[in-house]
Amino acid sequence: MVSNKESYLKKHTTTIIIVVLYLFYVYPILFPFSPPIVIGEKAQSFYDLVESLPDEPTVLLTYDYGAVSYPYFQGFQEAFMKHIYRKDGNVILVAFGAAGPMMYKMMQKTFAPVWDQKTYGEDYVFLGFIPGGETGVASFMADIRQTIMIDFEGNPIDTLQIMENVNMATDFDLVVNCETSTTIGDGFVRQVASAYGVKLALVGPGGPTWEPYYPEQIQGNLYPLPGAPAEYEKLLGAPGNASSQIGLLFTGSLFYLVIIICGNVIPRIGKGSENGNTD
Amino acid sequence: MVTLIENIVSIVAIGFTVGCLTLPLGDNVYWKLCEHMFLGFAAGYTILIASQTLQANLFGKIGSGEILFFIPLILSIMLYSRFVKQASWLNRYPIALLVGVGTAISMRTIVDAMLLKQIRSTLINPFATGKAIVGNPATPINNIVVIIGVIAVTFYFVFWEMKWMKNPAIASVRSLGILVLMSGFGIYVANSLVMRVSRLGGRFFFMLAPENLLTTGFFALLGAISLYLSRKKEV
Repeated sequence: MVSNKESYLKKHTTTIIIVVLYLFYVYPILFPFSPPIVIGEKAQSFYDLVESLPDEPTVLLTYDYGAVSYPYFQGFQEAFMKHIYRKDGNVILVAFGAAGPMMYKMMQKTFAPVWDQKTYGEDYVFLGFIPGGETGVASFMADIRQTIMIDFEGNPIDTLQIMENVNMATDFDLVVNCETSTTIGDGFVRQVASAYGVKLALVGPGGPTWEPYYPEQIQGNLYPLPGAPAEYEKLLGAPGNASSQIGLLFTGSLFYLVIIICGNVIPRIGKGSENGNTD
Repeated sequence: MVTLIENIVSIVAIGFTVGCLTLPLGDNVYWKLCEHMFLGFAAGYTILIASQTLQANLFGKIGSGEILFFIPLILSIMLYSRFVKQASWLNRYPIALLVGVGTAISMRTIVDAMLLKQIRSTLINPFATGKAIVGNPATPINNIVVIIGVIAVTFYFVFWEMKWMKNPAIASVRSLGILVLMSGFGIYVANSLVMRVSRLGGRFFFMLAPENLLTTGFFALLGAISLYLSRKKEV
């Protein structure tokens, strides 16, 4: 009877773990709770970086991620735009990943509360997808009008009020790149920070690999380990999407911690008991 | 106001998400359907974006009389010469150009960004404040960790031959180098993991939103039936 039970557990271990994982994710959504958000150094320095910008800054927000990563970046980008608009700034969006136009469509829906009070072409604009990876970044930063002639909506760039006096990298007060890989991030360090000396912030899970650039070459390095977007929202005094996910981030991370501990401890106990039996 | 199209998009999105979430519980028809449809959609989307990009950046410019853009057009066509055996050598030229331009653009600032500034950032006074982490009281400790870490990892890569490893001093520093490298990789993996928590959490938030609960329930039932049928077939 016991051996049947054991073999059943062994056979269905993966299923049990996955079901428990799903429960860990469902619980904080059905019964919301919020662990205290402690402001980390990275979120604080990013907040200070935006605060240090002059009034009415022109900011370039670039992104290279797909729909699957949208939940992570959505909270940060929404908070960032609110922050820039508080300073009466403009946000120019451009994508260096092919999924960019799709992400912009999703932004239009989720950022509606922010963008409804703003005018397209004056307060924000999406310049579309620029192919070529780092070569595309280099071309865009050197001469925007040589790289693209029209925005995503098909308007000639010269007709957009937001693009007046914006021709190259040095016309931006800050460049922020959001991405899930690390390749374009390194390209930004080379083509923006090093080539033009423009203030640059990188956001994404590649944070630890960009750490050597911080704070000498990049002035902001925000990555998800400490729930940095939620911390940024707290600093901004505008809890949003990222803050609402912090409970889930807590239970989700707790689950992985438990699994790692069990995965290391249980085999050792098993080995110990096997040795004991042999002796 | 939620439009009909938005409703359909939400239903499709929930259907696909639930289908993907059934995979860890076992291979099944529902998941296969989602997988194949996703690949089809992704290929279609990529072709659409590529054609839009070509229209805006190439054909549009040729149409407005910029004849120089015939050169990238010809180079693009040459890329496809690999499908004709006799002319396959032609595709080497656009590839060589692409690699050459990419490398040259990276090289322009690579020495400054990846070497000089990195060396400058490492050559720090360990007891100086405000360098590694601004305003952090642990800065001197962080600075010392940076210096020791760089030396240990450099030792690990430079002294790799067996004859050097026999020296206990070098072996110890190499071991420290491995520890530093593993810590770095561990932090990177942990970050990726938290990113995935965020990703999956986002999907659960979407599926369990009050307006989507009924749809999620329907697709979850569909997933359960698909899993049951697949397991029954296996048995």
